[in-house]
Amino acid sequence: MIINTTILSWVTFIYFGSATFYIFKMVTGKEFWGLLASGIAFIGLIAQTVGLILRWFESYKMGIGHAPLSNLYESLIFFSWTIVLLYLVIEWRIKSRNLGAFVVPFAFFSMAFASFSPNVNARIQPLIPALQSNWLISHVITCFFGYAALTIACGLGFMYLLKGLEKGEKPPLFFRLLPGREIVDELTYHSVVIGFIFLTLGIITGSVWAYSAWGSYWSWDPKETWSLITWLIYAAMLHSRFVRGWRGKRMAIMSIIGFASVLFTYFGVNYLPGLHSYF
Amino acid sequence: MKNILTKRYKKIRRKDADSITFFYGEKGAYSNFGVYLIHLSILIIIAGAIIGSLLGFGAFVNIPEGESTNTVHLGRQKGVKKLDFTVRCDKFTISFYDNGMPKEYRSNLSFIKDNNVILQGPLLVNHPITFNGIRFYQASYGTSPGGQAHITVNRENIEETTIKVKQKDSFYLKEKNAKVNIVRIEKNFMSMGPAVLMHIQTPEGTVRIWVFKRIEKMRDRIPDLIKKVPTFNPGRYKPYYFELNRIESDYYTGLQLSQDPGVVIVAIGSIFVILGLFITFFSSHKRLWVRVDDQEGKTRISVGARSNKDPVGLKREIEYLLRHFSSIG
Repeated sequence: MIINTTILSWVTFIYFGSATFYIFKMVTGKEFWGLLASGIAFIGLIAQTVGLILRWFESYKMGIGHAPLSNLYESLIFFSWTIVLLYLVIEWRIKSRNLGAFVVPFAFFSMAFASFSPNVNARIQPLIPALQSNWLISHVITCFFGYAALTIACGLGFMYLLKGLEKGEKPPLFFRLLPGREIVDELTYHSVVIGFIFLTLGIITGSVWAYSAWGSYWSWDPKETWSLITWLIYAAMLHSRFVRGWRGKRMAIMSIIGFASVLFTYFGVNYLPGLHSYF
Repeated sequence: MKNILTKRYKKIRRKDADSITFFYGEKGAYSNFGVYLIHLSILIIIAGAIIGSLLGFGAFVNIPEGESTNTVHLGRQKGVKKLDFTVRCDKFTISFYDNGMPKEYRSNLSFIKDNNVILQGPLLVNHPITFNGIRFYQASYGTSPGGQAHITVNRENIEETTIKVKQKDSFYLKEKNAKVNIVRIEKNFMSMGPAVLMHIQTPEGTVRIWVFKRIEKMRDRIPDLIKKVPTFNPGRYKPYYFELNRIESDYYTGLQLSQDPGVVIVAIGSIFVILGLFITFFSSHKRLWVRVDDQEGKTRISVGARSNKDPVGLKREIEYLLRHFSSIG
């Protein structure tokens, strides 16, 4: 096995550890576990960054140099990288470790899928002619930062709904540790805004690329169509907040529905014939 | 105090009344227009798309190597379109990586107008060529039916010539006053490998011969093959003996053409969407009222503010101002 895939498969376990400790933190209420979880997530992020850079170097050594963003394996790795990066920034900004239990598991699942699924090829492959473009990097980066922000919004949505189950005078510790609903709602909104902007940029960079590769900036390829559907779902979510003043539970549910659409855009579409078949 | 305010606010108004001074500051009024900008830009994009679909066209054409055309097949509208110039495919090449994945599709094209080559260049995926306002894209490729057969004609072991022929080509066997017509070129005829069907027109009538590349192997397997099927005998027309050396594929290049006058409008719309998103989500319209009471050497400062969004930012702003105001005193 090549060194970068070894590192990256280790990162899978690191994120698993981090996710587990974030959950410990939520159950026991001890800040120690939270600190441990954050530390491990940070180490994982560094290791993953090193793994990605090594992979980049290795592709150049093989004479087929390109950024490690060119197939399903690499996109899954990058997806979890963006989730953890964005999550740690948010954690640092809001100074709370309670969200980790709802977000870091997504990063772990993405890594686990990349590392263990027999359908995902971990080998470094050369770029086919359609991918040989400078737009590859900007398109993939904008899309995946968007996906990551929307993943976090989905985690927050779950958090909000879970908080809604809180009952009685003295609810279990776990519920009391969940942040207040208003804060969660506000954070969901901010994550969706960030995700929506990146998604818009992803669609626009994609159509600029399509204009130089496929002969048209929009071809109604299944992935294009589904990214538009996802975009419209989040646009509807933002409008319902601005225009109808929707908050709370409705927003939480919409952030989960939106994320389901993101997942379908990312994975489901691969089972339909289309131009994006290599992702 | 005014200095602090002017540093942070674009528009400042001041009103003095006895011992009270009022300040009014405002900034980011444009923030309210972000939403309109986004929606207007989306309309612009839709307009661009409509203009493109009404006035533009998308088409495709397959051009075999060495051939040229000025007729292309329309995609959406159906039918064909004649271009006022000709495109020639001089050469098409594919190269592969070591692991067999395609590395490059390249068509060398010539654009010809009034028998003059105006533009020549390689067309690659992701590198379209624009000629006469029409963009050409490398979209696909394929091999033409038939191809080029390399046939060796042997006459009584005295003379041997190798010729390259295509389907429907013909050549003469001078010594016998006969004409050979190449009727079919098959890369794999009835799973027996490459074969060429020739009809030899002689003064005595037509002789049909299937020339197989692997005739020796076929005869090893079925020793009396030629007796059973005389048309498979490469030496059927004496004194000649035909050999098929190989069949070269003829590539054709598949080009996608597009002309879309709406693209510029869509691009402008897209840029304004991004701008509008940033204005809407990252700026806010802040208004601030400051009241300064001077009474017997004591000063009381009251600050009121409102913002169309971002209440957290507004709170931080007020805290910042109060810190600075109190530091003057």
